Amino acid sequence: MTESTALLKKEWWELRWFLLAGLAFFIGLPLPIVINNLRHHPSVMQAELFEGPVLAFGGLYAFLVAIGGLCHDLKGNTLDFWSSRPIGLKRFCLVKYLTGLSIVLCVCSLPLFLNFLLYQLTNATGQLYRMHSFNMLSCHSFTLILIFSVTFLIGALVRHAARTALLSLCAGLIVYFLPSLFSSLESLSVFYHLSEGVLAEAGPSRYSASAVLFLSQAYKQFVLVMLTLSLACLVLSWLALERNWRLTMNKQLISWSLGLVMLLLAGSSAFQLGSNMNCARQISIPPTQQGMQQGVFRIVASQDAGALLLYDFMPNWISAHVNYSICPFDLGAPDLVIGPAYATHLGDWPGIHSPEDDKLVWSPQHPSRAYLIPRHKRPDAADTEPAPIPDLELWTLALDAADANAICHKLKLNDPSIESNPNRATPVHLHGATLYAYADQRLLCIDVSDSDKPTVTQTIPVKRFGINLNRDRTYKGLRTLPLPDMSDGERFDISFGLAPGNDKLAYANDLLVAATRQGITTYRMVDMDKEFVRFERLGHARVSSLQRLAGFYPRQVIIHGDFAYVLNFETGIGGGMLAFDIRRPERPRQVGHYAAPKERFFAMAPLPNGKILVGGHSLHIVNPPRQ
Amino acid sequence: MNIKIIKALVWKEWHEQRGRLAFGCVLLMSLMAIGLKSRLLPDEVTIYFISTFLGSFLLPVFVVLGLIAPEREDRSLDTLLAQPLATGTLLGIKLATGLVLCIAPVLGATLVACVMAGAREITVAYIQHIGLGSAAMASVLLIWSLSLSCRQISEARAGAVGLVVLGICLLVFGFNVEKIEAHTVLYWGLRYGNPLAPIRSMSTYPSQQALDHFSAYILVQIPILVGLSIWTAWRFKTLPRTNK
Repeated sequence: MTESTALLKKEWWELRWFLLAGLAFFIGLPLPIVINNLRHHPSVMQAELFEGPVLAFGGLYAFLVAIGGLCHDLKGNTLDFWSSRPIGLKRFCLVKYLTGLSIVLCVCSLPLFLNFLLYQLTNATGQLYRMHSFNMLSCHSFTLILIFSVTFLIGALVRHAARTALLSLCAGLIVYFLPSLFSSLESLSVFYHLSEGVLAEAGPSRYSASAVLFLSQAYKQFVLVMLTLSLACLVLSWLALERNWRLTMNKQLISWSLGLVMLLLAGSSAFQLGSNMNCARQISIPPTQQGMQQGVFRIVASQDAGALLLYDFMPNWISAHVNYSICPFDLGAPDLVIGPAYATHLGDWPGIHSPEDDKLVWSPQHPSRAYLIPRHKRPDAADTEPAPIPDLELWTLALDAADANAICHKLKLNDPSIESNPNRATPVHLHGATLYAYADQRLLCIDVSDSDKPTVTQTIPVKRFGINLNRDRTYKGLRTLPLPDMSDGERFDISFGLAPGNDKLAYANDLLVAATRQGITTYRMVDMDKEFVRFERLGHARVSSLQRLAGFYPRQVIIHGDFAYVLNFETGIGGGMLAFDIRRPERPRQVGHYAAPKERFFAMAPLPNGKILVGGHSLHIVNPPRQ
Repeated sequence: MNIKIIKALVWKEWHEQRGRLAFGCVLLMSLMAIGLKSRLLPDEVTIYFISTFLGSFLLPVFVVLGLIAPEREDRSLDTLLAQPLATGTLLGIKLATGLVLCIAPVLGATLVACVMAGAREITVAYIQHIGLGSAAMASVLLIWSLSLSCRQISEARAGAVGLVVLGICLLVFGFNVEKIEAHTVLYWGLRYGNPLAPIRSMSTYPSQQALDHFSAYILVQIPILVGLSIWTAWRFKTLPRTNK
């Protein structure tokens, strides 16, 4: 038996309990649940049962194996004994490293292979689940190698199990989480590669999802850095043992290091995702008489007054049971109450679609009236006889009426010769005393000078209208509506107000701000004629990688003062409102975040003095970021 | 009883452990302040995570690691046991130090939570209930871990025992005790004998059920803790005097 084989046998003898314990934890514990699920719900596969523990505890397991394998042999004079053996410290170090690493990779990969097997057995999961298991295997394994190597190096330097554990915990936290906090390091974050972020960056591709991962530059960089650092740690470990380098650290110092790393990570995360903007006032919306909670769906405001579209819901809400009501507000009023007693109930309308995209129009000239063109409910697939397509109508809503009289007027906008699409939202825009609506390739001009009885004054056929994009998905310009009697500025104002998808755009003072899932982009208007308004891209601000990991789904953008505000539709961590400084539009930057951990924000509106009114389960008046 | 020696021992423990006390307080209070200021998560989740997960689960393991094992590692325990002082008193001082190290950071974090988020999303009384429950759990888990790790010869082993105790408690906690016939010894043992038992009832506050469960937990734990302390004192007394 050679010396190496003997050493390998010794290592195996010492570490086999780690292997058994790892297999018991990562496979043994979830297995009964998986078998039970397979028996009762064979078509449903719960991928997280195997993947979750590997992702959550794989790093912990790697450093336990490294400490268990190394520190025991470095105590006291044991190293002198090993130095005296003909095997040499280099081979001693290498055998220890490779044995421990093999056990870690074996234990953390087997559950994922088992997942593949189960996917084949159940034949119930899509490409997405397979891809996630595959990504786990091809990304997380390299992180585990680095964590094992770093712990190995710390063990070789410190040679004390408890202190190595504390320092390795610091290192593990840094390896896992630090790259997520800094955009420049995000390609080194395992969470970035595990998330859909890498696929979103790659864009539409003819390759499969796995191939996109392998071909991406970020993945290659990730693998290269992880392996290089691991190799460096191995070489340094050998040098530390060979030259007897020792790192003597006070226990208190180690504890404080761990504490500081935790505070650094928590503080950085809080800075990127948490509230650094102050709420000046919060106005609660009381529940309805039936005990249903209420929330704000749309806000239309001018100065301190406006109208709110409210929705009410049960704690575990089902969208089909949501009712809507409309309510005026005046924040300057001393006895401000927003709630069911003051709201006009809209929920009895049969078949109303969720007014998520329906624009509410209100003006201070007629504060007791608001206008809305509702979409109608999509026919249920189970319906054998779908309901007839309802008329396209402009509803005049009375904000001061009793419940039964919520709709004080309905104006039919249908053109009998055109079959309109009831599921498409119809944009409306108020300009002076005329309300403009764009439907079925027609521009409808509606006179609302008599606020209770709007009438259609003109119908203009529109051939080409809307936002034009460049090949790289940036904004090229806006093809305007045919309004020959108007000035260029007015035409652009109306066209922009009616352009489909303009919720994620905001325009003010020749500056256009567009929000995407990656961040915001600023554009400058460079040319305007009777048909086309051209934009030029100025700058881009990416939201932090942590924000993208937490989820960034822009819903609404407004420009107010020196800032652009973006409402994030995501609930939970990362949800809320983001503020970007656009004083230098070439270099916009994120300067604030207002978090909403318990509610989802649907709407916001500018208020005087730079404040923002944000609507969720209550109304928040948020101060602008400090300049 | 030699008061002078007790005072000297208390001073020694304070001198040795004040760094850990400061560390625990600074870490938990800072994390609580960051979490509640930034509102990354709902207040209730932030408070549970910091007071219960960090304060009750992990802090006792960290404290156990540094109470008796370092004395054995440094071979200073022999000197301490040679003092004209009952072994139980020495153990009592160690235990009291450990309890202070566990309870003070949790109560500090609760105080921060009350000041920063009292009556914002949840009531001050509920925050105090979580804080007291977490402090009780931390104390019970500390005594359990200390009893089972008092003969370990190194910090690493003491820490490992603490982690194993925590792991077993979590496994037992995950077991559905409702399947067992109610009001049997096994039922009471699994339901209230587990140091982590209050977690189940804490979230039901302010119902009467929460207070009933907490009272039952205290009633069941007191004899267990007394028994464990006596057993630990006996094991501590019969410790091998030299570290082999």
